[in-house]
Amino acid sequence: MDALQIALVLAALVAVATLAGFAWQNTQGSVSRRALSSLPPDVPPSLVDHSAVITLLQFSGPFCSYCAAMRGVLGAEASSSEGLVAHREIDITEYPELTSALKVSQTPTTFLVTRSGHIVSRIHGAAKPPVVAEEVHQALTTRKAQSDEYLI
Amino acid sequence: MSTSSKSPAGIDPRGPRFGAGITGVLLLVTIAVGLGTAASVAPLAERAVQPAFLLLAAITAVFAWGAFAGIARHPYGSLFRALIRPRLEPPAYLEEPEPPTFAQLVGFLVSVAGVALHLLGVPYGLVGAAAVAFIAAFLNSVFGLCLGCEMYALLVRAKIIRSA
Repeated sequence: MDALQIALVLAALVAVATLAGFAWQNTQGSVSRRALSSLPPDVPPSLVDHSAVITLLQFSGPFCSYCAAMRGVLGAEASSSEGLVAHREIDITEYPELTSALKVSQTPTTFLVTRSGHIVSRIHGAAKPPVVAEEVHQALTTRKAQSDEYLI
Repeated sequence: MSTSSKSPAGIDPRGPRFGAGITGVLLLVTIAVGLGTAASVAPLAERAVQPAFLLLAAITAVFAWGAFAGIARHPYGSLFRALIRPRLEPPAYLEEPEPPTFAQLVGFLVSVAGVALHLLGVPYGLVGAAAVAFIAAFLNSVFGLCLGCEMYALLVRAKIIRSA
């Protein structure tokens, strides 16, 4: 192989890795609210705080670069919510059934879960504090509207 | 291992990324040097002293160091602490040492495969493995993505890995 061909191969490698990196970066902190159901009925009650309106259920793993960062973000959100929001963190290796039932394929993955186990939204990967705050705000507003409906 | 009983002692997440940068550049050099002789199959004695092979063997040894001694004792980590860390602001958060140590193990497995393929005389075996390792090191260094760690979560989901 001559020098030009080698340079082209190296450039192609860097280009492929860069594209893959941006593709991954775009998924980080993205939120999905569609096609979400409820936690399976056999989920232990320790995963959802029944005294809070919303539980931030974080799936972490033993080899997870951003779980510690996400723990800080979610913990801060919970402690500033005056008891409306709770934070729970579980290890995917301790809950393999739940991990595959909820199709968790990256850590961290965070679910916003209501008291009754209904999943409101799912945050893929590590998210910045404003993203989490916005999701929590949305979820609380929706819950509030629904409970007001019951009152009427 | 339990997430609730993690030790508070963490590492600066920029340390492993700095190390991955060095590894990435070395792997790129390995590929550049290796491509010149990748297609032809020289006798074993000659293959074992080719520059690209020696370079990948050295990179493999450093991966082994990081994987088996732990990321906290990694030589590039010492370099980071001595030269780079004093010039930076404190990190926003600390990372647990397990993920980057696991990444070193994945890097070791890929690069040792390249070493083995080269010794077996497989054309493009060395540069192929080096290219895979380069992509992982590049993503780690530039984007902070730990490819091995992402794979681990997939393996748990596929129930290939179970809790010990």
